[in-house]
Amino acid sequence: MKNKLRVKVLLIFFGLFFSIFIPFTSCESKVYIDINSPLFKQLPIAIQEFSGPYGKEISDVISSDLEFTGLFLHINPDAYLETSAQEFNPKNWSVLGVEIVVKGSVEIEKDKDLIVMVFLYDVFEAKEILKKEYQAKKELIRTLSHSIANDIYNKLTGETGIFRSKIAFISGDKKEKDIYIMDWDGNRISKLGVKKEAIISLRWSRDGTKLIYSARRNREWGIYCLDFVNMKEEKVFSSKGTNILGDFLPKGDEIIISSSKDGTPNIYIINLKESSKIKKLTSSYGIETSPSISPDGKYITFVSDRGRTPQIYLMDIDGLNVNRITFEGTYNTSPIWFPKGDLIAFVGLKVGNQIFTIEPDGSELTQLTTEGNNEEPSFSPDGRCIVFSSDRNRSKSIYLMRTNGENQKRITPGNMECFGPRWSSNNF
Amino acid sequence: MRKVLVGLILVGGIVLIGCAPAKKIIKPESTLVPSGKISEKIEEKTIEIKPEEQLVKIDSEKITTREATTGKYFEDENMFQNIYFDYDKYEIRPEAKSVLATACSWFLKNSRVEILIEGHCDERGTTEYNLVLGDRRAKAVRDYLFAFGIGSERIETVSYGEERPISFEKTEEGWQKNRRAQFVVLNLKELTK
Repeated sequence: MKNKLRVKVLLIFFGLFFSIFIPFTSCESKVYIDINSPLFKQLPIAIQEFSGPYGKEISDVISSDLEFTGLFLHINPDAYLETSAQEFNPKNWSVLGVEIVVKGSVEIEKDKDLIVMVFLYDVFEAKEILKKEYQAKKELIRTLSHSIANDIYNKLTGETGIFRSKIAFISGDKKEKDIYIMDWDGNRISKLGVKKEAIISLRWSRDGTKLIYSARRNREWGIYCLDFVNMKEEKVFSSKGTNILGDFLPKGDEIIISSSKDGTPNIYIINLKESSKIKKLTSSYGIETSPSISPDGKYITFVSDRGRTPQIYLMDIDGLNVNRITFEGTYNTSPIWFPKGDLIAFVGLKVGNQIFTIEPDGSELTQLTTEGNNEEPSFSPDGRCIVFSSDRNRSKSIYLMRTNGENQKRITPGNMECFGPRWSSNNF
Repeated sequence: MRKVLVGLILVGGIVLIGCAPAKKIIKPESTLVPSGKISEKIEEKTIEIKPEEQLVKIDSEKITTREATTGKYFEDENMFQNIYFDYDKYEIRPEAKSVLATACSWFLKNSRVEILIEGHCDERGTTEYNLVLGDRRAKAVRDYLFAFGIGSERIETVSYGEERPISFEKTEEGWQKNRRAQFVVLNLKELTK
């Protein structure tokens, strides 16, 4: 009911929007980089240090956000002919090959609020393409900077930026584990305080209001749900045996898990609202585990050892039409579906555990990591990056890379043992 | 719904800043001139209202959860030898059968004790798969006990995956020590008093 109403309101809104703006859409919709084209060229961009208090801090966050995407060619600030205080003059930039210029200024109001003016210029057409004012409390400076980066990214690519998404992960000592949350760039790490003997398989709900996970307490592996709205943790499923959370179904009220409640590990769909509603999808004497759902909700990728070694398989959402996807290697596990379509990331044993991608039909097998053991891949909401855990520097840390394997970097402190990362949606 | 989602949390003294999509009011300026190709100027003035983010303090007690604690048993871990497994396998090896026979006959004689079987793995696999592999190893041993006539009500299993290694050597010898099922004899406290 509520949803219907919302749709109506949206339709009215869009109706108004288009009737007013149609004459201008040709300018509005210019996309500077077609990031979905395989032939896209990096866009030369100059991000000038913002003037005013905290200006550098803000423009540095924006630069590093945009730089990680690999879509932009950052022109060295030493070459700039124009200071941030000077007015934009396209001639100062065209000689450097710069196509987009970002300028900004910061003021402080009442000693605590930051007011940031941001300007985005198109050098070829000699015009301003974005002018926007932002206001936020000083302690939210990083969130504010990520918001600016999202707006710039959206203006230039037409896509939604991921710079305000979060990553959850697990850390702790031998006796007690806990869940932590940080910004996508590894900043602002915070502990949630759920305290468990062991935790595994963190999964965000699509609206970002819940985190579900498997945890062991008193020898029992239960499935828990932490609701951020009322800050309550609830056990949503438990039984004898090992229960491991797989994924949310697109509708949100159902989850897919692997459970050995009836003896051997098999895959089940459970309704969160009525936990008695359980549907068993596999029936094997061996191991069936780690289910992940395709974005359209039609398919499940999972691990099975029915062929004597653990391999990645595909089946329909009702458990029918099972097909094996991986044939190379003797140990392929932890599949996760790409959020934007036909691609699966998984972990394969090849001189240590390495992250690979493969298409659901078994084609295009690509190895992304080579150093140390790399596990637990999770895609960014736009599918352009992967977060994973790696022990390449001895202790386990969280790393980021682009989905093509480029730009691998550690984002958690070297002295903190971290694993099980999971990327939130943009709705967070 | 999105508005409801506001702040995260501070637990254990560490600040977590939650994010909600900031409200945006987009006021297009009237200077939009659609004519003339090069002189086109787009000016979009947007005022971003303060992000609806707050630093909310949450005590860890506020994360509520209902669970009982165990502790009704005296646990004896070293009564029987471990049962070892091949890499990535959960079949009982022939040489384990004498250890199992010894354990089973003792369990049959001491019918008041309960039995916990722990499944363990070496570190080479992935965390999640090792957890189900450990489950499968513990259950392979459990099935053996069933065959000896030990009642299912006396047997409990748990998988620790790769979490509790005995050996930290990164050699086949070290890994072999870790690929195991381990018996823990559970004596009910009230019975042993």
